Amino acid sequence: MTADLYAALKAMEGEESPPYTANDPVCRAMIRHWCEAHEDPNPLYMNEAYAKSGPYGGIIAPPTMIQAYCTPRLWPPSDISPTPIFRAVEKCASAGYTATVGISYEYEFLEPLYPGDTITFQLKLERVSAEKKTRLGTGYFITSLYTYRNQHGKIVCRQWMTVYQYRP
Amino acid sequence: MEWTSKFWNEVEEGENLPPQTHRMTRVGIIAMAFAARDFLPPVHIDPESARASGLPDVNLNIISTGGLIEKCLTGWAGPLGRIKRMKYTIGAGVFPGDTLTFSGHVKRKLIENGEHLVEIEYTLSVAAGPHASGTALIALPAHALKEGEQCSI
Repeated sequence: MTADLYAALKAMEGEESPPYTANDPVCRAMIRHWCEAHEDPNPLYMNEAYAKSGPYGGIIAPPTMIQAYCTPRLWPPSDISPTPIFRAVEKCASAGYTATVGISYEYEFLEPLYPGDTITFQLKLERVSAEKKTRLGTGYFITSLYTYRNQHGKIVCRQWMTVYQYRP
Repeated sequence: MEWTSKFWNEVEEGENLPPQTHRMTRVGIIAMAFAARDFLPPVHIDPESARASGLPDVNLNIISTGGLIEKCLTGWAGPLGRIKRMKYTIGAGVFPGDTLTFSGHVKRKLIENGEHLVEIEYTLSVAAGPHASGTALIALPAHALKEGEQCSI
């Protein structure tokens, strides 16, 4: 059973979703809401005069905010088909590995995010560990890679997320 | 307001970053989840859902963990500091009433492809322990800008 599950997960390594488009273009209102909530005073995000004279020639969004444009919306229901990550987690859950915990995150920022940018993103199941026993239970470390591109086809950001999917 | 940034030639390996704190309120945690559009599962916005999941209260969403680390890194480096890479492992959850403390040090200085970089080792902690700890690579302006000189960062 467990060997079958591991083989099935391992076979999914490298599977990538089609590109999905972010719900909103990068915009000043969401940037301001982000800065307000996180209390981030960086003038590149909200201070027009400073940003204009700075290295980007205008306002940019906080780099980690890119994910906020790509989370599942509440309504109308998302038309995103189940991603490889979702399908891997489902496979685990149906074999009793029902619990998920976030382990580590990594970002590589390659291009600034400007208001007006339209982001597309793809999710790839990059790596599945052999079964590991931890104090939480027994399970698999699953690493996924988000690749975010702008409307010029340039990669803006790569983001790796590792979760531990386990049987408590 | 005058904005200042760190210059690479002024930073020393081993140097500590002055600690920065962020006080977490329930409103703050919920506002961050809205800003991050992180609604599902609703444990970051709905105390009842959080308790049903075995948590004492709403907890900080993980997208905002990255946002707070980024804020503290550029809070130290200044707006001309450009984060190139950033990674962290997750520990204790963050709940209303917690005070987050960011601390770190300059692990090394390096020049790569003409960019002047510093690697920062940092921890974002609450009283229960580290919430996130890891490293970041930041590009800094090499030296103080001369009159009329354009920043290349």
